[in-house]
Amino acid sequence: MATDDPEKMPGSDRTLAEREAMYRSAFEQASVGIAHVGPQGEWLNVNRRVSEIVGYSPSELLTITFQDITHPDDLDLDVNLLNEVLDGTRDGYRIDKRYFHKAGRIVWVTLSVSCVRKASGEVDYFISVLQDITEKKRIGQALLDSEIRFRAVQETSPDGFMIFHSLRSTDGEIEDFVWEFINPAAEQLTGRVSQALIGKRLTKEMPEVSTYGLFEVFCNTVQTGAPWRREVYYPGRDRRRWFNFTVARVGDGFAVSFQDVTARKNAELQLQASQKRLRTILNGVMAIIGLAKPDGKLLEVNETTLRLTGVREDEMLGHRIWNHPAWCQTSESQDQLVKAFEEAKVGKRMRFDTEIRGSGGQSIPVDMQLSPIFDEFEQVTEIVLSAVDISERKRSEAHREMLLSELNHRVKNSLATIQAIAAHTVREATDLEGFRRAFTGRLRAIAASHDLLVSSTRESADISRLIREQIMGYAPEEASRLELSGPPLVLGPQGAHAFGLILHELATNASKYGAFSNERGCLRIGWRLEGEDVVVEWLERGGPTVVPPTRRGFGSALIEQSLSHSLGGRSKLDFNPEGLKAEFQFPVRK
Amino acid sequence: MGDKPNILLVEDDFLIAYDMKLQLEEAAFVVVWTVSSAEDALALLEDTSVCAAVLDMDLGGVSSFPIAHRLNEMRIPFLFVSGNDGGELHGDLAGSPIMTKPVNYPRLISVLRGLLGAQGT
Repeated sequence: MATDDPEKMPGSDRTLAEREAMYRSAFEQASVGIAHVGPQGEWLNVNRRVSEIVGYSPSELLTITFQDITHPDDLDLDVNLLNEVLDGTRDGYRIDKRYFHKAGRIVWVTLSVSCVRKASGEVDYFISVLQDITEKKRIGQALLDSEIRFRAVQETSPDGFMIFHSLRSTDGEIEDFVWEFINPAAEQLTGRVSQALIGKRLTKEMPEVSTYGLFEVFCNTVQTGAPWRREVYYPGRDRRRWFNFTVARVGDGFAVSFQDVTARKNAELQLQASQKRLRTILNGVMAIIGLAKPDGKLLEVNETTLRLTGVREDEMLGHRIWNHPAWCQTSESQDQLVKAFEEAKVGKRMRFDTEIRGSGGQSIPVDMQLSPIFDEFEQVTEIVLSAVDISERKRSEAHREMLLSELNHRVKNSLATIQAIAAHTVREATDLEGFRRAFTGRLRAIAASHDLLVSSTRESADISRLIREQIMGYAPEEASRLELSGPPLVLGPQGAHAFGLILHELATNASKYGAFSNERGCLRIGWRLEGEDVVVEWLERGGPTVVPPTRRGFGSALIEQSLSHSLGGRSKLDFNPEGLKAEFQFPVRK
Repeated sequence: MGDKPNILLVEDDFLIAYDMKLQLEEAAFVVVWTVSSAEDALALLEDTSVCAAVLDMDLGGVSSFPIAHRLNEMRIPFLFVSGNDGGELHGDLAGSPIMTKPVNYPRLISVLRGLLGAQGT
């Protein structure tokens, strides 16, 4: 570009020297770098700002060319444009280019080049104006980089990501949110495409955000700036899924990222359920179960352990097992436990009987096992400890022995009773057939009373049933000849046995000599309660005339003495001519 | 002591007691037999002279040991009758003869005679 005539410039009334000084001053103090450059690129004249931009002093610059300090990537463009000016194709140009600062760093400059030509048209010199844009470039690049990274992250992220800005009413209240950005993963997770949502209102497109309380969460985040993170069971593309939401404020709006964590959550829930089930099993097992480190420190115990020993969990966990008295009742059991752990921690499975201390301080015999758990390097990492209370087993063994002994006792006593009955029956029998009949009759009487006692829930027998059982077979068919009257009453085992036999003796007697020995005799049995005793009256009528017996045999002795002997009761027999009358009294519950 | 030695018989079961009484009487003893309870037996010992005693070990669930202790104090020989083998006897009862039920009467009578004979010498 040709220079204007200086005569026509403002301040033309000043002297040339004054004007020269003004130009020089403006040149020097310009906020942009100004240089005169020769056709070959040599610096002819530079102002202070050029020196500041490229870091070389004016005198240094005058010894080099602009090519020397231009970034090689920008050199061709710059030189080509310069050549076009030189050959007259253009008068000037403007580019952003890089120089190497003297310190080695790159400086970005917007370079505006114009030229002063000689009359021949040849370029006399160039005028270059340099504006330092390094900082602007850096910020721009950072923004660009950031944007590129952001895009890259969002495009490739498996997490859904959306940005909204607030839609506010005239009084500033948040009415809704409007989509600004949706990444591909969010499209995938919601089943909606970005184009259909950008610029749209959230509550119109996805009204469920209000139903699930998320709208309030978004409002709150925008208002308070407090980030929010939670796992929510929320409708996804196809069905409800577990999403992990993170919400953070961005300007007057928010960003939300969300991942589908259904698989993990389900696995977690399953694991939780499975752990709960295992816990329930462990706690339900009537055995002591614990987990210890090889050094004997307890990591876990089940509830049975705590219940049996009466020790709190925190008193037990973290302590060496053999140092807690609950685990070793005696110093022997302590030594046993220490030794067993020595073996178990090198991989041996141990099993031994020992004693632990129960909640009441009592000794509990247990069958204890130590089972080592190995890692993939065959090292013992933990030791499972289990112990079964064997006191119940020991008790039941003792109980069984007691029952056997009791059974033996009863059998022997029954045999002794039979021995006695046999002996009595033999004493009064006149022939073998008579013995057989009397003996089996008495045996049956004992058996009948016994049946009655065993068949009832407790060891007791209903009196009217006892009477019927004992006189059945001796009493006549006609109902009118037998009358039973009395309240419902239950007899104890001794009473049932003793009185059962008496009834049998009375019935056989009645069938031989009394009311049942003819066609019309009848028997009335009545009973009542008198305090703790039962009083039974046996009254025969209509039989043959009664003659008192001349000889008292076993039957009479039994009828008259057995109640007083065994039960502290009493018997009274009246051999009235019109019929036998007997009265018995004995404790009802004995 | 008269011609026939007096025997205290403690047995709660009437049938057995009555038979045993007859068996002992046939063997020329005089039986002062009492009921089931230890109380009655102890009371009887206070005012009745007795040469020896036959004790059912289990009197309807109550032990006859108190009677046995009293008999030892009175230096009256006795033997036990039990449905069990009687188990281990301790203290002053250790070594007391035990007959198991059902009773072998000839043996019981011979043991009883032995007790009376030993006491006599």
